[in-house]
Amino acid sequence: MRILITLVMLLHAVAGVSQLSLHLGHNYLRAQEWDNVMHYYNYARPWQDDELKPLSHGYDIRAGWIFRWKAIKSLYVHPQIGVRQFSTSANNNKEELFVRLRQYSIQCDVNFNPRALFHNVSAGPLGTRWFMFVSPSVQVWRPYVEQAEQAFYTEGDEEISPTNWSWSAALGVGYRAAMISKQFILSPKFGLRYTPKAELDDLVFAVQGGNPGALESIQRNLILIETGLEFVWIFPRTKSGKGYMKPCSNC
Amino acid sequence: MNRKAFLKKSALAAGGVYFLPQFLLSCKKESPFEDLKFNGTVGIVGAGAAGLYAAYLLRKSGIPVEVFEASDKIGGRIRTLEGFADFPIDLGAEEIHGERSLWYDAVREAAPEFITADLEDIYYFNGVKYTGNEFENSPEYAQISSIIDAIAEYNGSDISALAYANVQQLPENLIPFFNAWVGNENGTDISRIGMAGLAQAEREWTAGEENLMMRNRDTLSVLLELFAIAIPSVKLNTPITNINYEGGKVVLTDNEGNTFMKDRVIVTSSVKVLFDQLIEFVPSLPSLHLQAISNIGMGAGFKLILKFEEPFWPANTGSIYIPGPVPEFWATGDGGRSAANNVLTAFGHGSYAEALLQSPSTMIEAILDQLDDCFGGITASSRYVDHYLMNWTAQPYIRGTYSYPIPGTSNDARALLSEPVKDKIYFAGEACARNGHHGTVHGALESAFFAIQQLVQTP
Repeated sequence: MRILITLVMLLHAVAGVSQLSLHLGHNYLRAQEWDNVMHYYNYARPWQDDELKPLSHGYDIRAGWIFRWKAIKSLYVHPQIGVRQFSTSANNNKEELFVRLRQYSIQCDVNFNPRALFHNVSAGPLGTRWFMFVSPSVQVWRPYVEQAEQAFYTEGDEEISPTNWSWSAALGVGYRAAMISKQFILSPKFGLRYTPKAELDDLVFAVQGGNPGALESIQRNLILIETGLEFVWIFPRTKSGKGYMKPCSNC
Repeated sequence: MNRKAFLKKSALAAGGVYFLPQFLLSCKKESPFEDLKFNGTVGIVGAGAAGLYAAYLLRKSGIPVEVFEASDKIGGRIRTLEGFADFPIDLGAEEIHGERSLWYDAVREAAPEFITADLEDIYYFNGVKYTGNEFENSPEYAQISSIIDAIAEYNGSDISALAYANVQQLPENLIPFFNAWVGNENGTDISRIGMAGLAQAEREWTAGEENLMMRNRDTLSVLLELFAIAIPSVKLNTPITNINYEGGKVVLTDNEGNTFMKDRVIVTSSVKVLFDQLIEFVPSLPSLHLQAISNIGMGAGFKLILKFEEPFWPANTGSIYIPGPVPEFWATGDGGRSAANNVLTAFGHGSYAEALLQSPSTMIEAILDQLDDCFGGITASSRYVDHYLMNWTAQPYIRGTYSYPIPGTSNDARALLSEPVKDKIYFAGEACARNGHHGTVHGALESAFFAIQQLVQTP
């Protein structure tokens, strides 16, 4: 109970100085060698009903708070936690092989407007309409493979979840496009994320089974193209309770 | 740009970003070998599971391939006995080891029925016949099981499996059962199996734990059906005796002096054939390959099919374990394979096989005596009708059953053997299988796939 009360108080304190955000996004993963793992699986089984697709397209959901760091320079700090998922499946004579790659992440974006760093610009509750962001992140990769409804990763009868860690950094742009009901700001975002030395040996092992050789090294540098929509809830803090004013349309 | 225009363009751009990669991917040929760097010809030595599968994949990729089979049969260590009983009998590979393997996936394409009946084993222990259920609840069974379960964790010195059983203080009267499960299962007897390789294989095994048997199909018919497009590439009765890879092309010479020029060659002959140097390589293979070949064991083994007037074992019998010259029998026609169900398979390896095969005339008598011991009186010998011996050791171009780890070596020898030689000679077959999959059909297929991967991606 004490933990719960502490958490509620912390949340209340955080809410007092920040805006709550929710991000829904699509990710395009560029990793040729990883794609080959799926290709090899297919190539070895020309008799399959359908094929495993590469883990190219994934979806993510993130939640966090946006803290104003330096209003005049339009600098905002945006810590978030999120989950991203890629999946594919193939039917081999009515037995499905299902492959899922889930990634849990903690990231801390810094939103800024290069112009605002050197000039005075008008800004709304979340800074300027256009902004850039840099986004360092730490991720946990959790692959899951299942064939004929049986999990691949087991120890005895126990299902286990292999875990790999990686870090990444992203650079991107966003646009505070619309305010809805004076409560929510909607922002499309686009970014490129670079993950050096990501490991996927567990997934490779599961998909390839005894077929070695698709990957000579288990570590790969990955490029992720992130697109998404960010919803930020602007807590009404003015005495009138009418929320913030819209940001300017030409800054 | 005003906000409305921006939103409109953003929506279009987002649509493009989302759909373009999918569109591009859908245009792309989904093959790892789309950047095929090799466009020459390939010769394959051996038309067993590995050789046929390699030829099948190459033909699918449009690469000209020719398979040289020394014997007059396709299938290698997969062979069928027709007409002996009321169902086709596998004389070689029979069981599908694991439900997560290339072979299992392939077999399912042929849509066979698997044996689903709950087969019960029979144990003859200390002069008493036990049902599987009775013996499997005994402390003796628990003792054997516990030391088998501990094999994967074994990290001691590389002693034989027999020495390991002795260290574990397994009583003498339980050794035959341990030998049946560990020795015979792995292609020899426990005195010849190395614990390091055995433990490594146990740890690395990825194919699943379920063992499956086809009820209405024999293994060879499935193999031939699946890889039918490779069959026209096979030249039977063409034993390759010399492979010369000195020049730009690889020259294969058969026992009659005919030569065949290929750009690359995949050798899928058994490791015993390589060890006995039935194929001469010019220049000689690198020392690492030679070392690898001598570090992989392969030896005597047989399947003896015994036909009786009528069954004297209960319906739905699985394996029958009787201490004696044959480590394991099984009721071949059970599980719905045969209406008459009057056939037993005797399966022996290593020193057990050598002892029996020394004198085929007394072999049947000794084996019937062993069955009589278990079932009482002259139950077996009085009902005996006929037999068929598949002596794999006597097959001139195979010379054994399947490979096993020998003491003092590790399974890394298999990975070494599967390394290409000068990007011209590739090795495949069950002995080259990694992940502990040696001695299995799926191991043979995996090794063939590995060879193909390397072959086609090297210019």
